[in-house]
Amino acid sequence: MKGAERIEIDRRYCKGCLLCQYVCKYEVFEPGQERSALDYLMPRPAKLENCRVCLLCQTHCPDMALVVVAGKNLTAESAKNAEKNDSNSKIAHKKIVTL
Amino acid sequence: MNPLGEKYLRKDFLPFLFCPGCGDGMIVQAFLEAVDQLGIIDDLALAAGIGCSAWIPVYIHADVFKGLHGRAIPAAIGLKATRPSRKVVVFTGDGDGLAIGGLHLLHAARRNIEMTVVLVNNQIYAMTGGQVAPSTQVGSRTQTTPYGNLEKPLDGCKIAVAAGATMVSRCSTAHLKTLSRTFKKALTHKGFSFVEVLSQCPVQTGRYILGSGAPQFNLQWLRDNCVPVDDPAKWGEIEAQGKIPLGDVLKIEKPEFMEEVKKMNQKVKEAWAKGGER
Amino acid sequence: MKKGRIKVMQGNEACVEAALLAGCRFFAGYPITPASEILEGMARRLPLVDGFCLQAEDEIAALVAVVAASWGGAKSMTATSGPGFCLMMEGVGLAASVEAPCVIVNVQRGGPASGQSTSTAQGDLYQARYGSNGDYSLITLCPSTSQEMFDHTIQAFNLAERFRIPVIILSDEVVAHIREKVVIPDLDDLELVERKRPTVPMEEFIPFQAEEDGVPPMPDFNTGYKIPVISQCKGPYGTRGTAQEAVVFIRRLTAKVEKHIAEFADIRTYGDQKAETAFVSFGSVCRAARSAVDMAREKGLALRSVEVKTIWPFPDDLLRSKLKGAKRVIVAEMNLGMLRNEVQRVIRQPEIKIELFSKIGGIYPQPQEFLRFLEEKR
Repeated sequence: MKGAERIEIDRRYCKGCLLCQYVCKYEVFEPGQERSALDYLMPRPAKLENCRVCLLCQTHCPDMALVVVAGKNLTAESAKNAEKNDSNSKIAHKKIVTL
Repeated sequence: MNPLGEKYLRKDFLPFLFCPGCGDGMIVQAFLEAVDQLGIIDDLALAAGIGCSAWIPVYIHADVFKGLHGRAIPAAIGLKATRPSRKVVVFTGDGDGLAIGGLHLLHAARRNIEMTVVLVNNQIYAMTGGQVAPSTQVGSRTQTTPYGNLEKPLDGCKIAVAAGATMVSRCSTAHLKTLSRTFKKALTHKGFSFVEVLSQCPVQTGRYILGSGAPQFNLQWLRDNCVPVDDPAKWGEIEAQGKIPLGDVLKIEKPEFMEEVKKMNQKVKEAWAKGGER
Repeated sequence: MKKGRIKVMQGNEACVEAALLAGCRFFAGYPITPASEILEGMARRLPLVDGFCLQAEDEIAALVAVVAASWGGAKSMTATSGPGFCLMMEGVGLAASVEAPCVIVNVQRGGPASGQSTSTAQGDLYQARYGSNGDYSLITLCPSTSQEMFDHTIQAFNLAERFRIPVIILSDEVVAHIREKVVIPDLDDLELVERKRPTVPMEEFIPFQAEEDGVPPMPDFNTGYKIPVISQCKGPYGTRGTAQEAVVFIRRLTAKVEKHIAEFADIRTYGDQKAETAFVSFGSVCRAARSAVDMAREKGLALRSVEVKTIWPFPDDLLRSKLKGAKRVIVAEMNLGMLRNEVQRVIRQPEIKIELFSKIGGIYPQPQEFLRFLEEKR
């Protein structure tokens, strides 16, 4: 696994705009089947193994509904990004889509 | 949750009321990035008027004054003057900031009062359903220009420069890292800073003017049509190509209004103490 | 006898003096005859007390800046005349909706529109109460002398802070410009009211939930409360209200003032309290009414002058009690019957005749004209 342990999309806030899929250079996302709490079809991080933890999806999400949680085998760049993530992260929600 | 969101969003107001794919939510995050790096959340006093972009500051857990349409800047002045150490930021739109609120922009810039005005330009009046805005391109068919817009658009950056702003930049939601950096520059600028942000509006601008309501299409449109340049002198040739130039237009230091007021008050108090009026 | 320094000053100057003593430290205004002296006076004096005076680009900006300055923590005021007052109407509603204490002086002049810039009138009475959109309530005071201008300005700030509303001082060109004696009390002798501020920390504070008196405590910005202040109808946490929350909100905005009229209602009487003929007036017309009462007394005619000082919310009960025993009520005003309409609404006994003595065109009614009116309209 290159970088991400999981990508969490908060189904309370996701509006299915698919901009995460658009900005991702590594084809991690594809349109999914599950609907968010707002009744939009959510994207799915189908190819999580491609994720480099560049965080473009996270910074571009118009609803701040997406978090990339870094994994163990990281490149230097990913490690920097991941460290920024971890130190601020207090994820403890029940309705998040995790893969 | 997004760590910036966890730290700074007003959670009981979520979700954002913005449409799917709207640039406003991206501006929230880019702004919070800058606020986080500067550590100024407690000093922030955010002001807004009416419109989609006016909701940007409401989701931020800070003191927010969201008042009347077009009157965010006078509110910001009231907040700044009562405590100059506040970091005052105005979130306005192309209607709120250039039409009904245009006059206030001129005078705040003229005073060079320390504040940041973020003008979100989605080239339409979105909140009210897609009417023409002062920033809409000629020929666009909108709800109030069903046969094509006949009016030339206003350039907010040029107006800000002409009025006396000391920092003027244009960014877009298709260039978020630069946007965040520009916010940081503006928030630390000692004077009136103006940041115009080209932002996608898939539902109104996208559907009525650009031909598609898909968020991906609209962000791509910004990527294709906004050209970042280093030299503001090149703006003319980019505009001649029909594109939108982005970049820093101006950043200079001039006497800041509240500091001048403080200096004057001191002199006046001393003169009165000595028995004269001036 | 009032205690304090004595100065001869215009009503406008007295307003400045009182505002500064009341603690006003933010003023924004736009020059307009006959109110400009207030802006000019504040421009000269506020720097001396580390206050801030702004000549705004228009009256709209002036009032909005005043409202935001109130949330910024300052006691704030603006002053204008009819045309500027019209421009400020949206701002009046804003002040009411965000519950920002502030004082708005309207020095009435001839209307409509640009009207008669240097002449007196009283045509803005309804606008003071109903000028903005939607339902809200506020208090309006009507001075008739420089002393009253001073006293009402202090009172206006107190009422604004007490109820968290915009308070309008409905002056007119005569009161603004007449020079007469004003007794300025010492600061220690003045009773000043400050807005309630929260006593609990942010986590426990519900910004738009009122206490028993209908008024929520108001924190200053940047004191750790991080309040979302929006101009929409709001729920207790400041969110855009549901329909039910809007009902609660609007009713509270009006009830918080109108349930407490007895706290501030003020109608003064002059002359024979039992006289069957009474003049009712407000603002500068009260001066002529009093002179008319004096002139009549010399002729052996008993008259009473009933002078409304707090005109909005209209003091129904107090007016009825002050007009007890009156058979003929003449409302004297410099407009086409606005106060008369209120008096008619309140006094519904068919045996009491309610007449209108109307003077418009910027011409101030002379005391003799009151007596002539009595004769001619018998």
